[in-house]
Amino acid sequence: MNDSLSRMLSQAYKNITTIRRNTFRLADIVVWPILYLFTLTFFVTYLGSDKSYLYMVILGMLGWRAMYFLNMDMVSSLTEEYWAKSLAYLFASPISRFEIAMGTALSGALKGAFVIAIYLVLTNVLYGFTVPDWWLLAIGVLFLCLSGFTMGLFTLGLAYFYKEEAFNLSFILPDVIALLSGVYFSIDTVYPAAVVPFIRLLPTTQAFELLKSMVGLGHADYFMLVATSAVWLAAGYLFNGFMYERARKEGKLARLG
Amino acid sequence: MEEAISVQNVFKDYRSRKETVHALNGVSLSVKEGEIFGLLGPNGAGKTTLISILVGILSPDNGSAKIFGKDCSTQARQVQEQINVVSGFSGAIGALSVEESLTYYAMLYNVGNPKETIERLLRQMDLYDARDWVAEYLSSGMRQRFFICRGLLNDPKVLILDEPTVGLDVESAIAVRNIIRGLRKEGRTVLLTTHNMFEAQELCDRIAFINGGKILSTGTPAELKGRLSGERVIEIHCSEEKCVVDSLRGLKGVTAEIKSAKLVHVKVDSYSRTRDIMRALADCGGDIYSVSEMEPSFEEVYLNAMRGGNDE
Repeated sequence: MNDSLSRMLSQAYKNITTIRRNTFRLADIVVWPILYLFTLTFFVTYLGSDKSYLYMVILGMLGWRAMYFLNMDMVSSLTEEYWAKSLAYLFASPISRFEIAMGTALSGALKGAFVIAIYLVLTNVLYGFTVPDWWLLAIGVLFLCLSGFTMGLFTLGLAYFYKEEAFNLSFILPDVIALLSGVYFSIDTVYPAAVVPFIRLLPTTQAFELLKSMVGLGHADYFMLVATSAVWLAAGYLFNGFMYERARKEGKLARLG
Repeated sequence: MEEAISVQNVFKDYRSRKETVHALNGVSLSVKEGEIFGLLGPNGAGKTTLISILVGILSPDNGSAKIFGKDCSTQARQVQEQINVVSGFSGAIGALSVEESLTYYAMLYNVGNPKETIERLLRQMDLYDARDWVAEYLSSGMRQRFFICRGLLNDPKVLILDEPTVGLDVESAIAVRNIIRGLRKEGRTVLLTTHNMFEAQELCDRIAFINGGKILSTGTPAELKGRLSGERVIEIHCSEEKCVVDSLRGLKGVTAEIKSAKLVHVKVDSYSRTRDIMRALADCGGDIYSVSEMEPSFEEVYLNAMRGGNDE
């Protein structure tokens, strides 16, 4: 196997194998997502809303989970090594920061796919939900994965310096982004008109708009989706590289054990 | 023999808003291939900083550190493929078994035939029966052997051992020391840090004392002992200590002193006085049980170096 691929897969292997004996990690892909699904969908059905609102919430949850797991796995992988006092071994190995990011993102993507599959089955059984347009779902989820990866690059960059404090941020960031991006509502009706153009500069806003467009509650703008994703990804990559080199220079990566 | 590690005039400062710490102040050292080289110094001496530079996770401010001719800062990837680290302070990734952990590290280094390599190392370190145990819960001794397994996975040419026996019981420490001796036989270069002077003297071909970010002295354990300035003492066990002291009175360069019952310490300006002392003792009326030169302990050598003595 190619050296670089093996190093990337090592990260995914570690994160996936850990689930077997780590109940917290297991709950992360089974318990919390299902509880979250029930909480939100029960609430929407209780309000007796139009089916399209329920479907918007379901689509939003599918996308949000994809984004969440990519970001979360990228940072938690590093944090767990830090807690285990084995982080310096990772940095002392030939793995590059890019390979760490790609490998951990892969395990995040696998977890995201697993939870999305559970959601699709459960929502079909409970609410008769079927995906209105598989292609649009695939594009939306793919770009939300990319957004999660970009977020991960930023939080990973901070994690080189701030270690477990950055882990807290990895929990907070997807929720803040979800709130700003209008996962479960229309940003045009909730946010002041002056703020909306800035919110539209987030790739997540564009991706969730695409998902919502499947049920007629959002507007897909493909150019903005690609453009914002590319710009933020480039910014995340540069930030991550800058922070890595700074951490290397200032000895933040250095403590063995 | 090829130079495995070459450190030339390395400087490293840690800067914060409040202060600047000079961690390394022009460190230079050279380690030959196949050598066990000890780096000894108190906490905060600069050992970890130097190791971090060697493994490519810290950049020096000035100077160069090379392993087999590859720069540890600019060619970190190539260096990291040839080395590995074992630290006495590290931990194991929670929730992974011994075998799973080693599989993870084998993938990290893209080890060929990982299953066979892991099995061979586990058997070599007497851990094969514990392969399914969660690594985090191994006993200290087993855990250290597990870390050495991990350190050997990529068949490193240079192995850096950072206090590998810290916190181990006597049996486990002996086992680890035997493993380190085995590494020498395999032709690996080992850079060892330890606070255990006995261990350093026993294992190391050469030793460097470091303090305040500077190398104070380098040499074989025997050379370092030999450089220790100060008084030399001959110890005499006898039946009549007063008689011994009287016999030695008047000998040039010799001062005898009763230390306790049946024990006399004789300070000499040189061990060449031993012959004169033996002759003088022949006239002593009492029995002489033993006459021995008291070698300085390696701890004394170390402490003397830290106080600024023992210069090359």
